[in-house]
Amino acid sequence: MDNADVKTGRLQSVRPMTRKLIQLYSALLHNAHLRGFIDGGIYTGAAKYACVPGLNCYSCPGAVGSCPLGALQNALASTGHRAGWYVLGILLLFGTVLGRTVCGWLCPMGLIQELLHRIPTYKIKKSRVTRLLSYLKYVLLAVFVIAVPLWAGLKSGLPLPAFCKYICPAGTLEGAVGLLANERNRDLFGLLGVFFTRKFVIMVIIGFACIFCYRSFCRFLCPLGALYGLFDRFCLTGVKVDTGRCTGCGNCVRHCGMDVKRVGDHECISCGRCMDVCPEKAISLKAGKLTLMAPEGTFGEEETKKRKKAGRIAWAVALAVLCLALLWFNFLDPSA
Amino acid sequence: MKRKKLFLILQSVVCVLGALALIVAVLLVYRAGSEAHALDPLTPVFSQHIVGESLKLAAPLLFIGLCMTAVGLLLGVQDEKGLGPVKGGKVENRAPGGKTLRTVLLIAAAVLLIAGILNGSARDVFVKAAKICTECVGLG
Repeated sequence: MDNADVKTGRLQSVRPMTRKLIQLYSALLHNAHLRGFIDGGIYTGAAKYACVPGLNCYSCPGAVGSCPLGALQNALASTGHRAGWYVLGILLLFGTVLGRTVCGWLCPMGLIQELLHRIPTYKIKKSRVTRLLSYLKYVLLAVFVIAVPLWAGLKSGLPLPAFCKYICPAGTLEGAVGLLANERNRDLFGLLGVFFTRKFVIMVIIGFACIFCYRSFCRFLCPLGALYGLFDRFCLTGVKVDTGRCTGCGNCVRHCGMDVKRVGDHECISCGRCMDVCPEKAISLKAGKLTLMAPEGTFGEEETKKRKKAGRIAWAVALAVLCLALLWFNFLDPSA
Repeated sequence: MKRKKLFLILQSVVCVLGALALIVAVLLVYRAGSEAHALDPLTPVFSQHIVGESLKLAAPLLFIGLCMTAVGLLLGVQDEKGLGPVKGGKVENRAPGGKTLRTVLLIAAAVLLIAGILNGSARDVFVKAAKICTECVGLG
């Protein structure tokens, strides 16, 4: 599904590979507590004060940060005795700075869905039906993430993270499977029952759907994507169109795997696939005024060299950060 | 082309059967476990041994699926009709005021973060995340 020359099988640009590498990097950084997979416990250090931007269950043995969706539900359920300003601030920050760029570049669940979609089967094309289904995630956001936890919190004072409890496949895959796969957690098997059965079936159905339909969970069910999508009109980072160059050919929308009506709308995950197919080279990935990625030939030779050098430095810094994170979360963190 | 179509059909069937096998396996385990639990409350519904046995049913299909995926990826087999024709339109300039709104929201985010740290809601996030969330992992 990446921008491939179907006849020759060669990639036309290295952008899909770069994005895949960044997604892998992000997934590893989200789950840097690798020791948890060996000793069967979860990370309990101070880094869990912070929420990660993507959907990553905080009960995953590797998770080093809090899940923003889980934290939001718990904050709403605690509304009766304390306002959850912190989580709202974090979501506002991520939404304003990154928006749905998180979905396309940073979310571990997004990576898993894209890898599943690589399995060579017949694929379901996007259509009016999928566009209509894409609004379902707003219903899930309103009901399971906001209304039910708020109602449970105000009525009984007990937290009820409804989305996490009844639907979230990340909790089942990363949390349940991640913990139960460890021999040291065999006692947890005794606690499994109807909840686990239901969630497991939902997880398998979602995974199965992702094989046939690009990013099914992301497009139709993810409330976090729905939340970030609300920031599409003013978020700092994302694909931007040079309206002076745009001729309205629609190639960008046609090649997009998401249910967009225009590039950069609330369904756009800024994956950058449209950049390669725009004949006018009118689309680029920007963070404010800084151009992060642009089509081949946008910049002159000098500028291209500078950007390549900057890219190498950025990767070196990123790898250093990852190594430090792995050392810190697995060996050095005194608060864990 | 026919071989590619056949491969895609076979792989699709394997995926469907694999998903069904996993779902049926977990439902059978749950049903048998519930019956055993009803007779003897000390018997867990799920046990490592029973789950392992039930996965053996789905394992061959999953293995075949994995092998076929590897072969398909190596040969570059893919459904070329994955994209549907969708009408496009000239992208217009965004409504003005986006920058101002963004600045306001960033300031609001900073204020909310500080307020959250001061009122203890940051600690609530930590307390919840530092323990296994039994609801999230399906333990009830």
